[in-house]
Amino acid sequence: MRHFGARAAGALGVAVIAMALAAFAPASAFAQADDGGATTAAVPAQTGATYDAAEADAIARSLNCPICEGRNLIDCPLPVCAEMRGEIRTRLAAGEHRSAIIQYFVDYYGERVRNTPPLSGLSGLAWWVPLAALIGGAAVVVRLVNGRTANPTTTPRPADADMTPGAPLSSTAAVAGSPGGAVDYAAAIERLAAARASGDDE
Amino acid sequence: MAELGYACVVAALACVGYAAVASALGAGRHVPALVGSGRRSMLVGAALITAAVAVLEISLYRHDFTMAYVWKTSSLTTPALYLMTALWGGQEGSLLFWSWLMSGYVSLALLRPWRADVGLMPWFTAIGATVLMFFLGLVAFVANPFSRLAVVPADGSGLNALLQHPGMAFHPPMLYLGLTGLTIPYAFAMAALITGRLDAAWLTASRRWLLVAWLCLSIGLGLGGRWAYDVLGWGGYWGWDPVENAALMPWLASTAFLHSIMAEERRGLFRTWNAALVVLTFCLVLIGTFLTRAGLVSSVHAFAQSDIGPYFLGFTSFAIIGSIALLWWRLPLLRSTVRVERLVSREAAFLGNNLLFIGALFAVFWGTTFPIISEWVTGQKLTIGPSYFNRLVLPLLGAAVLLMGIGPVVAWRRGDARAVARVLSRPAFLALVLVVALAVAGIHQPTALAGFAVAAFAGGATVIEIVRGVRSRRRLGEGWGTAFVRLVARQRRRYGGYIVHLGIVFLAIGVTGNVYKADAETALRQGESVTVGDYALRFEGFGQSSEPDRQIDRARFTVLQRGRVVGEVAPSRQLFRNREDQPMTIPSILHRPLADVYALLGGFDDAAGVVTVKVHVNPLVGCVWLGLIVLVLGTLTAAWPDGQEQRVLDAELARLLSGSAPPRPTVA
Repeated sequence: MRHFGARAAGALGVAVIAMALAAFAPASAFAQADDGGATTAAVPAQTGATYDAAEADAIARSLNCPICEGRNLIDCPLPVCAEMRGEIRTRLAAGEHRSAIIQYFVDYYGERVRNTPPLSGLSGLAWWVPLAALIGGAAVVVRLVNGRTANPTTTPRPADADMTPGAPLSSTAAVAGSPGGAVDYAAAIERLAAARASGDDE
Repeated sequence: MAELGYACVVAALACVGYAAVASALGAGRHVPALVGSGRRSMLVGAALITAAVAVLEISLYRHDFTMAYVWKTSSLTTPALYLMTALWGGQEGSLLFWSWLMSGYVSLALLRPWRADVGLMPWFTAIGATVLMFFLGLVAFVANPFSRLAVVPADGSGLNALLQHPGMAFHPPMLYLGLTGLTIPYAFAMAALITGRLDAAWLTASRRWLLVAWLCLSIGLGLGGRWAYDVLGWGGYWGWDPVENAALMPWLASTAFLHSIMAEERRGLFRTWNAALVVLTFCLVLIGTFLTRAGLVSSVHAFAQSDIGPYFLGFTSFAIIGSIALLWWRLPLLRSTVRVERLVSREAAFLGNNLLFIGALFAVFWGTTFPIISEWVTGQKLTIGPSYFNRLVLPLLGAAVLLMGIGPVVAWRRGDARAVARVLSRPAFLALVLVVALAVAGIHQPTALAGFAVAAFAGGATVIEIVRGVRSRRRLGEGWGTAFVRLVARQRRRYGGYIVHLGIVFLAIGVTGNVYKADAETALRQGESVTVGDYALRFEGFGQSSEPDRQIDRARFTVLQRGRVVGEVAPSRQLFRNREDQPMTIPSILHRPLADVYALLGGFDDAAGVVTVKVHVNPLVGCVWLGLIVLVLGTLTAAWPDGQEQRVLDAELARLLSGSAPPRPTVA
């Protein structure tokens, strides 16, 4: 039974693989169309010109409906949104780039038509502040771990030293209406909890 | 009736106010009688709030339309279940309900025998009562659910139609149970800071409450997602809506807290950090409630908005400033003498966990509040949509899932990097095989491959850990089943935690499935069909039915998978009698093992026989719900009271109190 762990993991892996295969194999044709970006379609109005359907969807996905609060342009059933999606297709077919098309709508409807803020400018702070906070946090963690390994050998055993109360038991301990043993009670439980905590994990 | 209800609220407010003052004075001046009366007063207050809730429920069932709240949230045709849930269907009632749950938590904590937390209890009562006082004050003076109407209408205007769904019956209560439950650890932490008893007692006292609150919050979030998926009709379960974010933030903070307290209990590490985390969690509950109810952010939860914003802002600021001042004052007592010694150690893994969760939390917070800040500063309105959160938050949570596979196999204090690598080589190999197999099968999206690989790695590592434990018990001669059950039962916290981790793995698989969502929208005549991904929907015809409170128009579709009939869907449009200006389109979902087929009516023309339908194919959504169920089971396992542990503690205690010589306990 030594290698049961490996076998169990193997079985899980096979199950996961089988599941994923069954889920995606039939859909893979669709998936390729999605990421390959090779599909083209004719613009109804301008026969002959073609546009990249995936790109048109991607642009629509990055915009909001200008009327409904917080609704993605691609999902919105309103006529104005259908027109906007048509405009995207027409402009793509005319050879315009994604950024120019988005800028066109931003100029017309204002910043709120984008559903994600741009990376640059003041709105870019939406992206950079959390990233900076994460990097700062990581720096603090690394400093915490590396900066203080001075004399690890003198580190006391946790259950004895570190679980001692930060302050002597406050006299309020005896207040709560219990008999005089309240403090002993609390201390006993603490000792037990500490002993259990240190023996708990392996 | 209404006057009785209001009288209960005012009397409860008085009792709770007295409880806060008496407990604080009693603790400060060492007057046991005052502490005792404060405790009793708190319990009486809870009973009075219960009475007020009962009065409101009875008024709802009796259709007492003289009361504005009853008129606003129910009608003569509202089904019985939704008469009950109307209690939290509007602002005033939901605040009363919230206060009731909070008073229930505080009372239960007071009714439990006071053990290790005995010295903390008076201050715990004072803090709990103060928080409760704020919410009760809102009910009494700002959002009174018992106010009368000048003219008595014949019928009510009815509950918002979107809320008439079984998910809505249980989503708000679970969420509220989670959010109000987080008051308990906060009150214990504040009590510990005030008394200076900053040992592990406050953690021991609040750990199980925290688990219960975390469990309810998780269930509440899950039910909310399920409701959105079943009712709102946009084909997903999580839209990074500001109100969803408001509930997610306390969840992220309390998840971080749940992990880092292990380092404090075990090694006395991160003591300041843990106290700060519990303050953060509680303040996020207040901020989230404030964001939701003050109408600052636009959201699908708009029905909860009102003008109570300034009060919330005031109380939240008070709580933040007060807590930080207390923390600052006790900082010298919180200094830890121990350090994290190495990067390869359990402690460092917990630090990493906290970094990722708090990083994700900050990103959610920033993305939710940035539009408000931007509008204040530049006057420019902008929106931050799902793709922002998906890009910033999901990678962090993905990294947390990866760490979830690594952390549990690293030893405390000084881990052995080589041993860790040896143990983890198997799940890593598994993930690699999976990636290759998926790539061969035609899955080329890097995000999907990364997501599945991380899930396989973490799932594999967790299963191996459990199997390792079972094998060591097997050496005692137990069968596989017995060994597993005993292993989990003997170390509930640890193995319950692993089961939660497995639930998270399923969730990760389900979320990764989103990469391959497909949809289409089209107009169909009878007999015509539309193909989405692997599935086709054939339009069969219209149907109509009528319920007492609404009229339902359906379109029936047969679902085919590669030409074979696998089921049918019937998305509908529902017209509620009292809200005829507000027709609702309700999606219909066919759950297949590996994908959901989700159909929604866009519009239809009965006369011409044309229907417009929007179809989503959502791969692996089932894994999300499965993951949530596993998570709930795991949390229950970890939180379940350990009878044996309790017996040992009680025996030890009885001996100590009687002063007799210590016979060694026979139960190990």
